[in-house]
Amino acid sequence: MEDGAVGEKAGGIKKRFTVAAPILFLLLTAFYRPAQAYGLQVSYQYNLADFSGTIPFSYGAKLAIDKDRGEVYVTDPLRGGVTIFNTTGMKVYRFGDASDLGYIEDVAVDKKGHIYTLSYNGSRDRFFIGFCDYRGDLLSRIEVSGLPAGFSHFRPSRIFYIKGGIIYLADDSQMLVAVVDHTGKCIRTYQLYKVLNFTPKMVMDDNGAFGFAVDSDGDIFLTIPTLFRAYRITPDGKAVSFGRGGSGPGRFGVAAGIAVDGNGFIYVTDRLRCCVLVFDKDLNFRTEFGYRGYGPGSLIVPSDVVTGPGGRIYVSQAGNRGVSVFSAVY
Amino acid sequence: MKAAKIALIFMAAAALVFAFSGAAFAFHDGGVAYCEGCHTMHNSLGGVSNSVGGWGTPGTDHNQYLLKGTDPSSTCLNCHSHKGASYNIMSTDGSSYTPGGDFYWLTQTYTYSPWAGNTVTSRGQNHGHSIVAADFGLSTDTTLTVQPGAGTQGTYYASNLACNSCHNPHGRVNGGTRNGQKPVGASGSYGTAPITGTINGNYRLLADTYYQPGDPSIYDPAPSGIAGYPQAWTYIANAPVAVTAKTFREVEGLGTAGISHTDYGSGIAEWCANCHQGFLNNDATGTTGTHRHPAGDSATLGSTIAGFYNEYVSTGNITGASANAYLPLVPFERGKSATLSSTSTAGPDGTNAAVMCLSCHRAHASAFDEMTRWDTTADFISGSSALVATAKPWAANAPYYGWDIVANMGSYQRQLCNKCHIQD
Repeated sequence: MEDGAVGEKAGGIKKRFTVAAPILFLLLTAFYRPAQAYGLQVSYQYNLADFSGTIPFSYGAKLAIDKDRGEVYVTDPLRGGVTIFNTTGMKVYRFGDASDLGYIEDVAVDKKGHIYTLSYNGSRDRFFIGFCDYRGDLLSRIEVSGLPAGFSHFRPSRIFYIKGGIIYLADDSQMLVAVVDHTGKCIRTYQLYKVLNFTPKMVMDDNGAFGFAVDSDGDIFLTIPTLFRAYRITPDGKAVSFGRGGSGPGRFGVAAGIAVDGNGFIYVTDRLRCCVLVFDKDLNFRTEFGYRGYGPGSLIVPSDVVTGPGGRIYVSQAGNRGVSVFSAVY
Repeated sequence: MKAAKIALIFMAAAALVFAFSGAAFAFHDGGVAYCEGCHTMHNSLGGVSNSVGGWGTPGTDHNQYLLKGTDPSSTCLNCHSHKGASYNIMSTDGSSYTPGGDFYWLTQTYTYSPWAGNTVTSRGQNHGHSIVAADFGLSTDTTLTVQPGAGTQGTYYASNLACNSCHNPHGRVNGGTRNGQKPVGASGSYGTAPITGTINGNYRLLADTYYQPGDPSIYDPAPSGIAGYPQAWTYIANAPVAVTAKTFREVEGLGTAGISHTDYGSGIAEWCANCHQGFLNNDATGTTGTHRHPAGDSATLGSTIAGFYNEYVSTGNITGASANAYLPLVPFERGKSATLSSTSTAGPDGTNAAVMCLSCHRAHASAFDEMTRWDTTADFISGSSALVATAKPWAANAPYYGWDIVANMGSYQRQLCNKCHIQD
């Protein structure tokens, strides 16, 4: 074989490689998924506690996360007050027993550490947002205004703060959401039952939501136990459902709390199966953890769930078992 | 192109239908539900035990009957404890306005001052049937350790009190298949006719004759390790007759929605007497000298009492008429042969209507002592204990099912006993 032919062939290969390499690179880049995205490992860490041990919150306890400081807030409507825990799960503060904050249903925290309480007055017939400093001292009372017709019986039970000073208020049982600015002015509403093509009667016939969450992009997540489904609703009102009923892995018994982490993983608690199901951002079931029991890492009727920095997953539960903290490794 | 667009729209619509169709899942369907909803067959899930603790040795034993809860009531509350939906009977704020009442009140011990300088405590366990549901913090009644008014029935221990003490979770009617009954085809709670070849279930899956709570006769013939277990304890009266609205959020509320309620037919008191035999008094004339308020199918109101009920609107107002006299806070039985309707506003007739246990009590729990429908210790019920409590973490007007007593009946409304007795 002549050197020239070899050189010509080699040159051809080189030329083809020069063209193919960037294409191959682009293809790899386009379809590459880091292995850890699907290799989620979850392990139990500890329960939220004070110096005397695990704090036994009631079955109705709600969770909120301060992602900037890594603190978790536990609101217990049955027993009252809000308890704050640091990144190691130790109680560092409690507030909410003062009457000016009324009865606190839920809380949210902004980037500066301001606390927003979803509060009801003494007779619990009116709600307001309590704008508080980091100690839970009331700075101002925000009244929500501009709610449209159809929201006359709006009774939110959840509050979420997302970027840009936007506050989401959710009435899970009526499946209504009001988005308000920092002054309380309503800037957008969602009648989620309409988004999901439910009639009001279907909602009244017990298809109300149980779990509710809003991510930083304004995507709304909710669960409807009677339908064995969870939903993701984008800000423009597009809905997609996921999950199915059953008692095997990946199935919903009684779907309850829902949360999403920074990697797009969606966590759904199952009160009946006593575990937390994990779905990826494409809504495919990936893994689950917990299971009924009294040992470390087991859960008794898990309810609310939030995710925090460092891969931490907080799960509230019944049975005076407190809030269990898990760690996700990708 | 147009055809393609139409096809695309059709496919999108079809996708939406499949994506979002599906009615509320009627888990029980009037009878026994699917087994794995409540039981774990092999007690194994994800390689670990799904069910531990319970009536055996907590933490080491499986739950009795392989239940998916620590105990029977916890198993029920897995699905039935939240707020909002009508199937929830234990909320987090007293807002489950179901006819039976909200077990939330068992968790609420509160104080109030009926008069200056006097502080009274209303204990949570005195607000209802203290079912044991360990997962939800409901424990055995420490005062009434056995049922009051046992009469000729045996002793029922408070430590065994659970949802399945009154409800047959398997939904059998009169002994079910084992007793030759037809299949249960639909719920017996809504007044619908049975499907051909089937029978309806009992109202609210309430137990009836042959029922033994927990069915030890079937599953555990010799439960010698369980102290006080009622081996021989059997129901002697069938489930009562009643119809209810499918949507409890409308039940007993205000305004036009308030016409929706549970309409009681017959057998309530007799059924309660499965446990509380000593409280049943079918001799409404009182000639037996039992000195108890009449209750039962034969405890008919009579024309005088029925007339009072129909006239009475509120304290100081007896301008009512029978067509609109029904007050959900003071229900009555319409009688064995009456046509029942959950939207009927009519008051009682003087012949068939009768007083029952639920005329004054909630079956599950209420905001008040002795699980009464109104506070029997307040002169004016606008000053009811749960309305003037030192702290009221419950939903607005929840003690009276959303009724604003002052707005609807006035500040000087007296006891609702007056609905029948007009002594105010």
